[in-house]
Amino acid sequence: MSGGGADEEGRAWSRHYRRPYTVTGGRTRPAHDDLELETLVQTVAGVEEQLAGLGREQRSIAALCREGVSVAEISARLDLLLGVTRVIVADMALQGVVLLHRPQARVADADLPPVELLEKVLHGLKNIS
Amino acid sequence: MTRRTAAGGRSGIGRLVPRLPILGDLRLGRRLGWVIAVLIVLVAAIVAYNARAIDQQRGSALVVYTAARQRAFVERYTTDVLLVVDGFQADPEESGEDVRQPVDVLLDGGSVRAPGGGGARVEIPPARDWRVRLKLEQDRRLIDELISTGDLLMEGGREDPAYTDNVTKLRVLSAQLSSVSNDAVQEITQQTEASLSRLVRIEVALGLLSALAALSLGLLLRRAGTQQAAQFRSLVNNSSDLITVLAPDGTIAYQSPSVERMLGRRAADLAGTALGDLVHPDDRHDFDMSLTGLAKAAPGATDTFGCRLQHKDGSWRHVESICTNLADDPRVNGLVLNIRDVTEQAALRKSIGDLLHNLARRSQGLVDRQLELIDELERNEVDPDRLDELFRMDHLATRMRRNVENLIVLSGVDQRRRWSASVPLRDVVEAAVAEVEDYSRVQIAGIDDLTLAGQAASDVAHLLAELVENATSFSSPSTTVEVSGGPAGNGYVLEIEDHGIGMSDDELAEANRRLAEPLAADVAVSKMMGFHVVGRLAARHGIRVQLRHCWFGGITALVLLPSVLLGSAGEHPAMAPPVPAGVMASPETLLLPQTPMSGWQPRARLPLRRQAAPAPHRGRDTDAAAGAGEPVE
Repeated sequence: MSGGGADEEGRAWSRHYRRPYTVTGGRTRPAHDDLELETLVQTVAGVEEQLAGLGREQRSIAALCREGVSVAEISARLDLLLGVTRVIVADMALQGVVLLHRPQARVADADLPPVELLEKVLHGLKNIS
Repeated sequence: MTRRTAAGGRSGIGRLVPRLPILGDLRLGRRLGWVIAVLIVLVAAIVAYNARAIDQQRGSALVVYTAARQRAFVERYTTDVLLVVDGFQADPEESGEDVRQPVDVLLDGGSVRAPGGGGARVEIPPARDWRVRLKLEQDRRLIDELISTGDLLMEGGREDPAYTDNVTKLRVLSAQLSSVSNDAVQEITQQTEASLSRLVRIEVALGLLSALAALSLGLLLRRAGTQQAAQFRSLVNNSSDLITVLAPDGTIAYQSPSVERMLGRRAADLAGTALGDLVHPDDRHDFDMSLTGLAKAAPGATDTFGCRLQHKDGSWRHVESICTNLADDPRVNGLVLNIRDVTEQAALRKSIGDLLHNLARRSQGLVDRQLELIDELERNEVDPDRLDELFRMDHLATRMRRNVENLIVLSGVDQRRRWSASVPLRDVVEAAVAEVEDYSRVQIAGIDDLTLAGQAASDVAHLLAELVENATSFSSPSTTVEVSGGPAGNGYVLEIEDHGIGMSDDELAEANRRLAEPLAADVAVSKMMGFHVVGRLAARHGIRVQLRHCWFGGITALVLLPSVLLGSAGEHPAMAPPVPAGVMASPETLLLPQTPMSGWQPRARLPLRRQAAPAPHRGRDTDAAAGAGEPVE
C-alpha cells in the first residue's frame, strides 16, 4: 500500500495490458439467460475451499457478495465490464458458489403499482428536471 | 576492366604461352612467358644444330674416305691395264668402274658401301661446295681420259706404235688423278672443318643467348617474387582492415600499420599493449569471453565478434573481427585478428533502426488510440453479440500492438519507458495471454502472488507472449497450453508447456542457441524471429529462457525471472483490488513503453476458438478458470 501513485501506475499497466476478453475466454453470453442487471447475487456460505480454485475476479465477486449485491453494482464496484460480470456470475451460479435472487420474482404477486401510477411518477420526474 | 584489356592485348607467342600466375601482375607474367618461349626455341635450335653437326661430320668423314679410296682404285686400274696388256689375267673393267663410281656418287649423290663393310650402304648427298665440285669435275674428266687411254692400250697392245706414249700418258694421268684426288680430299676436309667451326660458333652463340635468356628469366622471377612480397606488404599496409597478432597474454605482438588510418594510433605505439584496453567498456566482457574461449579452443579454430574500439580522438569505431587461433604455428604463436571497420554499416543500421522505430512508434500510438476507443465501447455494451464483436476487435488490436512493439524491439532502439511501480506477476502473464492468437486454449495455473518490477513488466509480457504463441502454434487446437510458475533458487520460474509435436533435437538446439545469443541472430531467418525477440528481451533483464523436451511430448519453455525483478505481493497493493479489465486507460498510460512483440510465423493459422456456451469449470488446481480464459474442451 505504499504510495497511491505507484499503486495507480501499477494498475494502469494492468489496465493497459490485460484485456477483458481473457477473463471469460472470449465468451460474452451468460449461461443464465435470465440474468438481469438487478439480479441479486449472494455468495453461498462455506465455499472457501472452492473459491481457492477460482480466478481473481471470481474471488473478488464472492468477497463482495456476502450480503447480496446486484449484478450492476458488482460491475460498478469491481470496475468490470457488465457483459463480463454477467458471464462470470452465471458461471459461478452454475458452480453453486453464488445464489441468484430475482427481485421481480419476489414481488411478482405483491401489489405492483399500476402502470399509470408509474407513468405519472415518470412524468413528474421529467417535470422536476 | 584493366584485366580484360591486358588479356586482350596479348598477341603472338605471348598469346600462346600460358599466362604465369605471378600474383595478378599481367605484364610481368607475359614477359616471363616470352622469355621462356625464347629459351625453349634456343634450346631446340641447339639440339637441332647438334644433330645436324653430327650428321654433317659423319657425311664429311664418308666423303673423305670415299675420295681417299679413289686413289687406290686409280692405281689398281693402271696396274690392271698394264697387266692385261702384258698378257696377265686382270679385270680392268671392274676396277675402272670402281674408279668412276665414287666420283659420280660424290658429285651427283648416291649410295656407297659403308666403310665398316657388312653390305650396309650409306647415302651421300651431292657435293654442294663449288670448289669441291670443281675439283671433282676435274677428277671426272681425268678419269674419263684415264679410262679411254686404258682402253686404247688394251686394244693396241704392246705392238701399238703409241704404246709407250699411252703408257706414259696413263701413268701421268694416274699421278694427276692422285694429285687431284688429294686436292679434292683437302678441299672437302677444309670445307668440313669450316662448316664444323661455323656450327661451333653458332652453338656458342646459341649457348650464350640461352644463358642470357636463363639469366633474364631468373631476374624476372626474382622481380616477380619481390613484387609479390611488395604487393602483399602493400595489401597489409594499405588495406582498410587491420591485422593484429595477439600474444597468449592478450598483448599486441604485431599490428599492421593500417591501424593509423582506422584508429589514429601508430602501430609501434600499440605493440606490447593490451588490445582489450581499446575496447569499449560495454563490449569488454564479450570481447574477453570471445578471446579466452578461442584461446582455449583447438588450434586453427575461428571466431567472429563485433565490438567498438577507441580512436585516438576518443570516438568509437565499430569493428568486426575474424579471429583465428594460430598458437600452434611457431611463426605466429598467438591469435590472429582480422579487424574490419564497420562504423558506417553500424550507422546505416542505426538509421534504419531509427526509421523502423519511428514508424513503429506512430503505429503504436494509433493502435493505442484504437484500443482506448474499444475500451470505451466495451464498457457501454450489454448486448452479448455486439460485445463479442468488440472482443474480436479488441483481440486483433491487442495483437497488432504486440506486432508493432515487436518491431520496436527489433529496431534495436533502446527506449524503454521505466514504470516505477511493480505489477502483479499474474497480470503480466494474463497480459501475455491476451496477446496470443489462440488465447482461449491457454490455462494459467498456480502463479504465486509476486510482483514484477515495472520496467520489466511489458518486456516480460512480450517475452511470454512469444513463447505462448509458439506453444499454441505448434500444438493441436484440441490441446491446451499451460502456464505455471514456481520458485527457484535464484528467482522464479515460469513454465509454458504444450502438448504439441515437439521439435527435433537439432531444432531445439538451434532455438536455444538463438535464445542465448540474440545478438548473433540472423534477422533474415523469420522462422526463428520470435526466438530472436525473446532472446533480446531476456538479455535486457537478465532473464534466462530455455526450451526443453517435455516428457509426455511437446515442448516446455522455462523462463527464469531473476530475484532482482521480483517483489512479494504483500508489500505491494496491486493485487488487492481486482484489476478492472475494461476500463479506459488514462491518457498518459497510452504513451506505451515498448512492450509486446510477436514474430513467430505459425505454420498454420489456427482459427480463433470461441466458446459458444460456457464450459463447465474443471476445477483445475488453482485459479485457472478466470484468469486466462477457460480451456476450450
